Amino acid sequence: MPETIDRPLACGTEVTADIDRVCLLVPPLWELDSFVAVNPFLGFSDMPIEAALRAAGDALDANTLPSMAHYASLWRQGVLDRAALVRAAAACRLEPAHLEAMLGGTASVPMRERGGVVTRAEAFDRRHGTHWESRTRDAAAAWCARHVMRNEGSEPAPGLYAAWLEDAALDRALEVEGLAGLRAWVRALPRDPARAITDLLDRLEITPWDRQAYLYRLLAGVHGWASHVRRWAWAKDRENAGMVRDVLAIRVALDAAVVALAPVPTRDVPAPRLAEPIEDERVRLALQQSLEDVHAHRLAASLVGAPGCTADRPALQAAFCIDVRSEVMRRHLEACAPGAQTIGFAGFFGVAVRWQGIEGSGDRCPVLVRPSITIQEGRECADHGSLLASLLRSPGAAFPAVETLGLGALAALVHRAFRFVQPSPRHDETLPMQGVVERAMAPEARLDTAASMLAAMGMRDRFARLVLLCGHQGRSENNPHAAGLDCGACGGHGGALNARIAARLLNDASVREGLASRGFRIPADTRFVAAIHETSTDEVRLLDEVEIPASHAQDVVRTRAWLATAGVATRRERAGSMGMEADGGLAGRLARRAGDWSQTRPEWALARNAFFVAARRARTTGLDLQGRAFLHDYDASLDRDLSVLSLILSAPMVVASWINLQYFASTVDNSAFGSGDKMLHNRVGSIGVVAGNGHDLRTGLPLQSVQGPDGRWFHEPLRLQVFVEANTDSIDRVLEMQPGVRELVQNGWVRLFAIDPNGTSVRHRRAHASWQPVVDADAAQAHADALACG
Amino acid sequence: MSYIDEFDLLPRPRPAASFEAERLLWFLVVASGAVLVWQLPWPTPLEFAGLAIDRLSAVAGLFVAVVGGVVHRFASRSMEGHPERGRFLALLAFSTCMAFLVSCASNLLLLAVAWVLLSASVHQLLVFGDDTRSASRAARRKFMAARLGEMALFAAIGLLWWHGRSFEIGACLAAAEGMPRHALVPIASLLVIAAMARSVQVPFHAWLPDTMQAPTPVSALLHAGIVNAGGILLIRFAPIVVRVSEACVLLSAVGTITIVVGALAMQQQLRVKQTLAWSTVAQMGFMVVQCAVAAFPAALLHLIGHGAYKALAFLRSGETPRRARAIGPAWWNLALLGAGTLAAIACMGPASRWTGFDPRHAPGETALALVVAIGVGQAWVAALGGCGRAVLAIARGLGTAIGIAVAAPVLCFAAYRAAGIFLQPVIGDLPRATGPLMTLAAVMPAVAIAMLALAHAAQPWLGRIAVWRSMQVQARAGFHLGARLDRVLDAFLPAGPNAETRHA
Repeated sequence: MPETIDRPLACGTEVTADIDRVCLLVPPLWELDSFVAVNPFLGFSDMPIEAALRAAGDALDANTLPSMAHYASLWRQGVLDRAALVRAAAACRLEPAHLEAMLGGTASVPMRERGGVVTRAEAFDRRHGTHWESRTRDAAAAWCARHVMRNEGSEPAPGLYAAWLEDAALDRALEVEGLAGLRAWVRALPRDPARAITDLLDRLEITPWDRQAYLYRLLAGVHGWASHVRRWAWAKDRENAGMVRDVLAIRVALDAAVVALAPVPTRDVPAPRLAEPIEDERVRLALQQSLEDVHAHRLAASLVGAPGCTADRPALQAAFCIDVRSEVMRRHLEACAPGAQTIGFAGFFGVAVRWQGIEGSGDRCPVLVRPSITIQEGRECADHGSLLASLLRSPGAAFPAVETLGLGALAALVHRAFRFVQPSPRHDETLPMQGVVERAMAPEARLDTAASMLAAMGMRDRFARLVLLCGHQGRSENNPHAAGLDCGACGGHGGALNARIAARLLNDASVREGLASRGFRIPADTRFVAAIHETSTDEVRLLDEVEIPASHAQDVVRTRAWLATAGVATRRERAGSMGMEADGGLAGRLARRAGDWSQTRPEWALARNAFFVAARRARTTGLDLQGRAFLHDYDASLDRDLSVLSLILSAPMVVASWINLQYFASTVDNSAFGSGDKMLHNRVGSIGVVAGNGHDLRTGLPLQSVQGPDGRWFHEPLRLQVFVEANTDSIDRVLEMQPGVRELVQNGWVRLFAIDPNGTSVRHRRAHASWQPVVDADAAQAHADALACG
Repeated sequence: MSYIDEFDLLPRPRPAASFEAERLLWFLVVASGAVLVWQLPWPTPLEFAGLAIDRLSAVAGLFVAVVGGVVHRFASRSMEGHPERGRFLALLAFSTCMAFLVSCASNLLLLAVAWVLLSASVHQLLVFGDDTRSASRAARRKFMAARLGEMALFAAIGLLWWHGRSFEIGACLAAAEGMPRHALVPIASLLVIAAMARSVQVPFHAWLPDTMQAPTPVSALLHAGIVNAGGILLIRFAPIVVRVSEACVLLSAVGTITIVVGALAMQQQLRVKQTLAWSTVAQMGFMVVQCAVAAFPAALLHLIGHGAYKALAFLRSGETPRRARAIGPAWWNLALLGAGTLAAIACMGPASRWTGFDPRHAPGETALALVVAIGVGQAWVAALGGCGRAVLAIARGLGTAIGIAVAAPVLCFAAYRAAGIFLQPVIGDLPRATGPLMTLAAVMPAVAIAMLALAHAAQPWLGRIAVWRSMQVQARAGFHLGARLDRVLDAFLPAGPNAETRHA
């Protein structure tokens, strides 16, 4: 279907359907205290990646793939080898020599014109050299901000568009800029957003052919606020556009207002500004694919063969979050602790909690999961807010207040410049938990949660004396995006709470009895202990230590020593990427970095993520994955009905792909998909940040999270390479059951590989559901021989 | 010369200079700290190599250097590895040094040079790595304000030289003692205009809220150490300013308008940095009003206190702060405001006796005391307005309210008195600022602040009135003063072809 590839947004027939379709292209965006990664192309996942990247890129004036210069430098460095070049050339139907010339700079790169439709204000601007597009965008964004901030922190009141009509009937701002008569013009608009859009589309004579592209182009101008509004609709119903329609109606109205009211300037008209042509995506996508092949095939080669052997009873079991930062810690822990086994699992440990705490409430589970348990910490004490904040906002009191308290501020200023904030445990780690879980969950629910947690982790009869459930959290100061360093699986919070609840459940005597009757053979001397991995400093702290019985004191001492050793090794490994010397005192320097109010890179978080491996840990033990892989434990032999695989692919894998695509897009075009320079961040309450004087909320990651200080990309944009240790038939069956996952794979948003459970081959799932081996049998055999243990 | 490439002639320093630059700033801190320690027991103003060595220059220089040092330290860490870091840090240090010189210069020519170079280096900081349209429109407004201020300052310096035949401030002030009024009026007015332009008074304020394309440390330095240079200028020339009541009335009127515009606009901002910027506008209005009513020691206290608070607020703007308290119904707020104000006034008698600060000394002091009392009233609204019906909360709120009513007058009066004693050797014993014009200068801001306080307390009720809502809508954009100014500027200072999209 060549038309749909060229114009993927043009096939609607009915106006209301078109409006909804366009509104649903906008991904949700969460507030700062639960800032979780979102796939910026979420609304496009039902389209093939190439068409989607073009459509999104054209509407947002964005780059959606790395430039040819990026691939050229990889070619010069030899990362892209000749075989990869030949593959890429075949994929984009070019002669290899021609492609090589392009990479060498001797042949020109095929360019294409930006497709798509421009708004009426843009067309006006291009003709007359005015700036109505940016002014109307700002006006719409500023209104969204105002409406959202009225109910800051909770769902915005319905009727964003209707409230705007009232407000715009008063606001002179655009009239002063030159749109004379705007207030009267607004009063004549229909009150219903859908009606208004339909009417105005008629008035502007937008053809059905252009309709979707035109509407999406308008929405792209206020992408951040539209995304925030979408977040509230998304929580209720993922197919409901909600108030995004209202945002769109404001944009259409202002666009029509420019046509109706903007005076045609009399002065000289500058040369029309045209969108610059961009490098054709087809070639770049082919190169991207073959680059990913290079990485994936290298990993595949080390994943084949017979898995390593496992001890009967491990000296320690430690379950970590699948987060890529856990991989480094797990590797070093296993290396220094003989007989220890680590497990990868989503860091909320299957405990989907809606937490209502004294210090704030929130959902402590992945945003794809609905919380099943509501836990109240205790009586919520009403926050009276800060008296000083009130005084500084009062005209009158603010003046004497700064005079009398100014010296204190001066002292604080000097103090913060010279002293770093000392770490203190979060409330989550220390709050008393006695009875909290028991009150909130019925015995049956507790048992169900515990059983499904163990089943999903593949733990049935092998249990060490000590089993760590290790959540993770970051630490940073003065950082609006601090939640982005926390655990995404815990909804952008630290994982301590979930780990503590999970450990309590599994230690509960009645739950243990119930588990035994369901076939889980947990030895009586097995103790589950919650822990927290602080990723900014790579320290692991045990939580609720007082509750560990004296019989396990020896195990605790030993475990703590192992964790300390692993922490040292992890920090050493990380130091280089942070531009720090890997010598003594690293822990202290990292802690200072985390407590420094001027630090914009407390840690690299999930940068460089590229792989997702769902396999037995034995397959990856000892493999240096450089902190680039999400590791989820999966044992196909324990999953006859494929329910676990189905869960893994539809939840953790999807979350990982959201993270991966967020990093991808934020790196490739930070001004469109990222949130820009942290030094320019300008917070809007607790909702988000705008950049500098801007009005639209910024989505995605800050520049400092994906780029080194020298401006080079630290993150390497690679799509998620998903490796699953299962039969291709099983995987196909799961894809059949999970249309959302199938879409991601089929359309190329993630790339799926199957590791044969016997270790004989790794196969790549191609289009049309064909599986192509990527590692040949000889290599597999050679590798298996090397890895086989006696 | 166009505002687009205003002073690109500044040297481009070597990247390695940053460490020495920070050391230089801390050296300035130590030096002015030493001068302060020396001047505290032996308050003899000296002039040395064009620099004033007295308590005013010591404390103002110390403050500027501390803020500059902290900001420099912040920026040097947050921009680690940035290719332009060296240039940025050198510009920060250079701006700090110029602000330091403005605070310390005793030679008028040195003052003028530092004043101009301060504008230039701040401009370079504001356009650092910035290529957006709005910064450029703001740049034109700032260009207008800076050039007008410079012209006024140059003219004032010329007149001072004409009458006093000296470029030393001390000599000029001494010569001014015997000058006829008609000679003083233009000098004082020009100084007042220069100060207003530097200290972002309406209509010279319109660029300030649009400077957020610059990195956070720039805003911190700008709001803490640079916009208050106008206040330093006024305090330095206090003996001249206070003798020209017309200039004081002009200053007070402009300051009052600035307070009102800044306070109303600030309430409507949603972005943290814009909130802080409009708050600066209002605070600078108040500082200028303090100068206008001859409360120069209070103005010094204010510009240091505000600067410290604002630098801290900008640098930590990444943190989500605790929210302001909820407020109750309008009638209850108004009752609390009235009760708190009266309670504070009742406490002022003893406070005045203990501290030696007399609110009845002149209209200016009375106005100052009234603002303190209104502030206490607002503290009562904040402490008791939204505490609900819980007995414990009410008791706690009541305790806070009474504590503030007792403590605030004592604290403020003691601070004003101490600042007065501190500054006396520098500005001498000023004549009592009385008379109808000085009374007018004191009444205008007091009434305006009282009205603002009433409106703030009655907000839950006023918010339902269409006219008030409409006013609030216009307040978001600072009553469109900036945009209207742009239309005027379009006529005679046309924007370049790139001014809207690019700024470099």
